[in-house]
Amino acid sequence: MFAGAPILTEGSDIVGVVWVSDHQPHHRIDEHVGELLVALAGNAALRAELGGPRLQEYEHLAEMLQSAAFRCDPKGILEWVSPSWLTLTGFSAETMVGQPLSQYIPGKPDNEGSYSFPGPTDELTHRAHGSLLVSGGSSVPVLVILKRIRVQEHGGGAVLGVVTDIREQQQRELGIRHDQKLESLGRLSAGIAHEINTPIQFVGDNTRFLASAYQEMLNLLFVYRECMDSPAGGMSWNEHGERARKAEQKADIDYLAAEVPAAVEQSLEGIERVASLVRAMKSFSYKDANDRSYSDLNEALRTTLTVARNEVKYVADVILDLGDVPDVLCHVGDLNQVFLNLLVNAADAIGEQDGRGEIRISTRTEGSTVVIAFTDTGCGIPEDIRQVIFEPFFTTKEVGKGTGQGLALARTVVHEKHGGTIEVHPGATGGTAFVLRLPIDGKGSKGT
Amino acid sequence: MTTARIIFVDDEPRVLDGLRRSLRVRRDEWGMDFVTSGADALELMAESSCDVIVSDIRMPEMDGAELLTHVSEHHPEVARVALSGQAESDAAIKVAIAGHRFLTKPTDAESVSRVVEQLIVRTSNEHCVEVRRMAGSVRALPTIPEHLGQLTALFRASEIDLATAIRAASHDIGLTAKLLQLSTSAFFGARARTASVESVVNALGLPVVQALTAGEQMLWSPLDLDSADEVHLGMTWRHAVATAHLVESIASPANRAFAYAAALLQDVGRFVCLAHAVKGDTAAMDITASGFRGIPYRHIGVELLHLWGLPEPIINAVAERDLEHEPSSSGMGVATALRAAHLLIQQTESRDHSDGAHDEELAALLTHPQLVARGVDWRSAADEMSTSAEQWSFLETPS
Repeated sequence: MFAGAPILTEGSDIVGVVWVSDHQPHHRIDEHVGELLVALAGNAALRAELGGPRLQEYEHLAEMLQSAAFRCDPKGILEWVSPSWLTLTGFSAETMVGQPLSQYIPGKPDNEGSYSFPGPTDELTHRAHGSLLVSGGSSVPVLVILKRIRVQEHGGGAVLGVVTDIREQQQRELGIRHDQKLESLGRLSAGIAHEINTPIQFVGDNTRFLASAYQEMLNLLFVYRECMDSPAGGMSWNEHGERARKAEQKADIDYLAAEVPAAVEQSLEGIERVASLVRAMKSFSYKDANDRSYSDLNEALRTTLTVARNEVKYVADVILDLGDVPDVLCHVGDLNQVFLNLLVNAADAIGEQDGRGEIRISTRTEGSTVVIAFTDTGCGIPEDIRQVIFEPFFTTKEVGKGTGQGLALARTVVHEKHGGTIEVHPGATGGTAFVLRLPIDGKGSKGT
Repeated sequence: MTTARIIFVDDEPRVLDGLRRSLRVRRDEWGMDFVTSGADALELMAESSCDVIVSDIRMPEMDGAELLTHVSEHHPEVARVALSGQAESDAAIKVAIAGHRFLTKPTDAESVSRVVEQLIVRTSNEHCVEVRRMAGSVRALPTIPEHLGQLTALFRASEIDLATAIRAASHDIGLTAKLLQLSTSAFFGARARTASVESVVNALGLPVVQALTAGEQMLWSPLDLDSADEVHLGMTWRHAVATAHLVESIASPANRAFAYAAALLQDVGRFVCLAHAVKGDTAAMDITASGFRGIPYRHIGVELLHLWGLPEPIINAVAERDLEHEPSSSGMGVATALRAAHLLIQQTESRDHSDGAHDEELAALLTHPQLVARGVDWRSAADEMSTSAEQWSFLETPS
């Protein structure tokens, strides 16, 4: 991966490029590097005493960059674009210069993917996701980094920027999310098999019992019928009674009378257990990641708990303390995944210790946000690693037990997809509390 | 005859209710108890004797592996059956070592009945209680001390290949017995196609075999053997290997896997006793003798193979190894093939001081049409097998 920024003189000539490359195949360059590069380039330009002959070299470099760079006047009219813009979009520099930047990266105020154009007194570096228009009318998701710099022309200001194609990065994130889903699915499937096996075992046993009970009752019924049918002269009433009593004894009718209803009831209960598990599995993975809708998070938490019951039930009691919370505009499929990760982590933390623990899941409304807390009585997270647990690939689990993606994804989902927050605190009685805050009306609402 | 007593353990009361109902037809033959925890089961066992315990694996507090291990130590006369819905966990590996038989959920009452019924049967008439206790106490058979280091290194290596693993396992008595024990159930997923170590390892997969051999529970040797005992164990093992290699060519193709296993396990009783004695008095045991406290090693070995559910032809062949066999006019069975191979190998081992006791029997066995038709000089084949068993090493790469 490459990232770079042009070094522009006050006369807005390109005199160089500051760039970094990273040869690790799956390593993405931190977005801060882009900021740093723009700042560095500005600094370099101010101090530059670079002569004309080297200008060409820097233009070659700019050409090789994978990110596109540009310069605008304070009103946002493009004055210069790097050659790589052409490779990225198919538009040539000639057609673009003189046009407003917003024509190529449309700003969508107050919405996802917006970036703000720095005003006259703004000296901050701005970073935002946007979509870059490419020739043919489609667009490409990009990261835009821009900064106002002080120059002598235009009454003292110009705006420099770098535009980076983030399709590959998004693809990779999608891949990681998919891997993580598969990982938790693998773990869950063993547990779910067990949860289904148990009812199937006793439903099977009960049904076999019912089949034999039915046969015994039917045999008894036939005896009764014979007693009814036999001509009055054949047998006395006493003899009839005696025969029926013997048949009843043989069938152990009292036992059957007591056990058959229980066997039926327990079989139905077993079938309901399997059915509710299957329902939970369907709703757990139903929502597509791109669907945003108002969803009942209490229901989502219950679903997650049903699906992961086998992961938890041997180590902890789960207490649901679900408040009266409104539906939240969210990607509920992604949140289910987050809830699952937090629940399984809590169970693992408790499993590290001797004895049974407790996991408390609570929800409540706080202003325009819904707060969801997972509190466990597990081994806790040492203070020195509390800061890094959300980093990708950080894990304390044994090799093969976890990929270290769970919490990193939880943060991505909560922060970036929902404009919420996720915090970790030490629990009141040892253990850990994870607190999620989600804006009720979704990302971009007043809650963020 | 007193009725057999069976204890069922499962933390899910519904499963117990189901079993109770579907096994009700057995109420006149068996006394059955149904409890929801390992602690309750142990309490019952302390109160009165029990024949078979059938336990779930995954339970809170004391899990099935822990319970069965405890039973093996404190109630060795109780046959141990695992009935579980989940088999890929570490607990399953522990259960594979601690248990006698393995059933997977969902299972039907007939399968449970069949296993329990088999386990109630004891193979030894005269010493049934003592033999059951000794065989029952064993979870994994010891390996002979000179092999332990090599086997351990081999199975713990990260890049062990399938052929090497199969070659090693099929030459170790303890591993062969354990793998064949696991082959009778689909506890770890796939079921083995034949009673050969090769097909069991293929069915289980290397990771399970490696997990099985990873702990000190499975691969172990008694520490306090004197050198004479070690020498004798080595001889026992070489005899088993030579016989196994020879019997592979004697037995008909259909019987080959059974005959090989029976040959390798022919003196398994000594290893059972060794495992049992380690817990108490190794000194009281004389490996070179033919039994322990008046109980023939053979009886103890056969009881173990029976408890572990090995295929009937293997058990019968081991049981009948020292009985005089006559060549039958029909095909040669596993037991006769083993007897013939055993006598042939024995003769090569004791050539210089042979008492000639079984010469006539062997000569008669060699006239069996199945052997004659092969056109092999069986005595020189036996010589060859004995020599190659002397030189056999776990470290050699299979050709």
